[in-house]
Amino acid sequence: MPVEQLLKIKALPRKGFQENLKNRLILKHYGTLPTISAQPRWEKALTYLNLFIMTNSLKRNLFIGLSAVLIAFGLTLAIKPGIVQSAVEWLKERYIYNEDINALDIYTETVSGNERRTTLAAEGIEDPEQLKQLHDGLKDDENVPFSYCEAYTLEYITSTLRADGAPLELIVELNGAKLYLLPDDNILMYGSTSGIVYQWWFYMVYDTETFWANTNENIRQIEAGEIALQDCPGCTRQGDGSVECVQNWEEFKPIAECPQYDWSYISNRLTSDGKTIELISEDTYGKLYHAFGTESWDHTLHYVTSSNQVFSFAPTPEYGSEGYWAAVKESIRIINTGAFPIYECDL
Amino acid sequence: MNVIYEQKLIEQAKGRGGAAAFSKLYDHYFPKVFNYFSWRICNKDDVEDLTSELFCKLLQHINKYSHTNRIPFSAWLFRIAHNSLIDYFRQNKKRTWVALDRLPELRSDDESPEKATEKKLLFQGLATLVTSLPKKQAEIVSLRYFSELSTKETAITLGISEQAVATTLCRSLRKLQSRLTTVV
Repeated sequence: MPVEQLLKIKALPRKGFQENLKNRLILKHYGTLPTISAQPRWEKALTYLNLFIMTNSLKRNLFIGLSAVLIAFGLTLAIKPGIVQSAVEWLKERYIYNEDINALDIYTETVSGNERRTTLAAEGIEDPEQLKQLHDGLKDDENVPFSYCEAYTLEYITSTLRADGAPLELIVELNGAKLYLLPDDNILMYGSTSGIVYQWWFYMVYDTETFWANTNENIRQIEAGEIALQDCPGCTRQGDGSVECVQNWEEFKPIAECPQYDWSYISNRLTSDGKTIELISEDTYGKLYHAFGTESWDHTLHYVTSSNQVFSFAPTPEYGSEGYWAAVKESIRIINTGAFPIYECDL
Repeated sequence: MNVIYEQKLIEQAKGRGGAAAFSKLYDHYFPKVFNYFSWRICNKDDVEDLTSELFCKLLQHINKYSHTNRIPFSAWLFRIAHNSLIDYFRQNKKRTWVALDRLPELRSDDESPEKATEKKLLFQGLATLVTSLPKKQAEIVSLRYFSELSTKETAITLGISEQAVATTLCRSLRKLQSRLTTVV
């Protein structure tokens, strides 16, 4: 049985636990038990109306786009029935089960007027049902090019992937733009001529005509500026619409939690976890500690500033490598410029 | 639950008369949180304790949440759950094999007692496999599958990129699939 299927087993609380806990919490916090009523219909309608009109331009565009397609299709149907037959053949040819390339299932979707298609390909998995589940598991991800803020650099991505041991192949280089393949994960990454990195998952057999048609179209859209950048979690949009980003795309970026997490608290906690702590660097601005356990991956860095603010992080390149120290140096530089925010701890 | 409705409930829940709003949020998130803890801990007493503590913290600190910082409520909530779990593992370093009768109850469709036991054993084996994954992989699998967070929500919860979530998920599933034969 595919593992995704097994992971869908749901746990259930003991009878009454969910309701009892809710009532207990609410009574304690609000001093009264809730009078539950369904969301009024008019309120629900307004909510959906709001959602439709005010906030979700994608859905609005989709609605308008689909309406236009339907009207056009209807007109075509009325005028020339022969075209319909051709269209069906065309669709069959491109989108229906294709034994030759072992592409087992194909989906079409329409988003913002751009037709895109996703083909599920066998990656050592032969069962169509498994492939469908794999696709369903990823269906909320965009299968078209996407990119985060400009801080998400090619240098960062390639160095972290290599440090992670992921096979990374440069398959095309043209006018300064580079197309990389991550074969294990069916990912293509394109460092565009503008220096911004875009990526997408592909669910089709590599190096087929279909694959290159899709790749070329994605690259065309990127270079034509048709793919918008997405804000990353470190981006802050200013009043004038510009975006400032403090994210350096380290997977474990330096984070300073609230001031009560001082070094004595953190070092005690680390020691009680069985970690060894060593001071590895010190200057007028602060001290850098290395805390490590028995596993090779189990290590973190803690930079304690002269004001006793602790920034904890763990660069992804292999510990001790040139890339690792470069990342550490850069992180400390940014910390000392005050660019990393001090977060309130979650609680 | 759509975002606007959720935001409205959160704002209402912050007020003194927000019991009904909190109740709806609770009903929506309880199964996700409970499931998340169940798969990682496999001991129903501890799962219930952690779930209780989490919702208690949520009530105490819901005023701190603001949707204007663009962090989805689900990611905020699961960040707290994730931290609670880290604390739990820190305090309970020795993970013991949990007796069958201490495992969380599983959803069943009128199965025979034999089938239910078989399912529990499978859950125990699979949960052990998930727990044996590297920490980051186990966390991503848990959030994506057991709590049904999207890739984006998972990425924000863990403070990593969506790319990292997708890549790690692919590798984790492959690893689980290859080890599965030993428990099924």
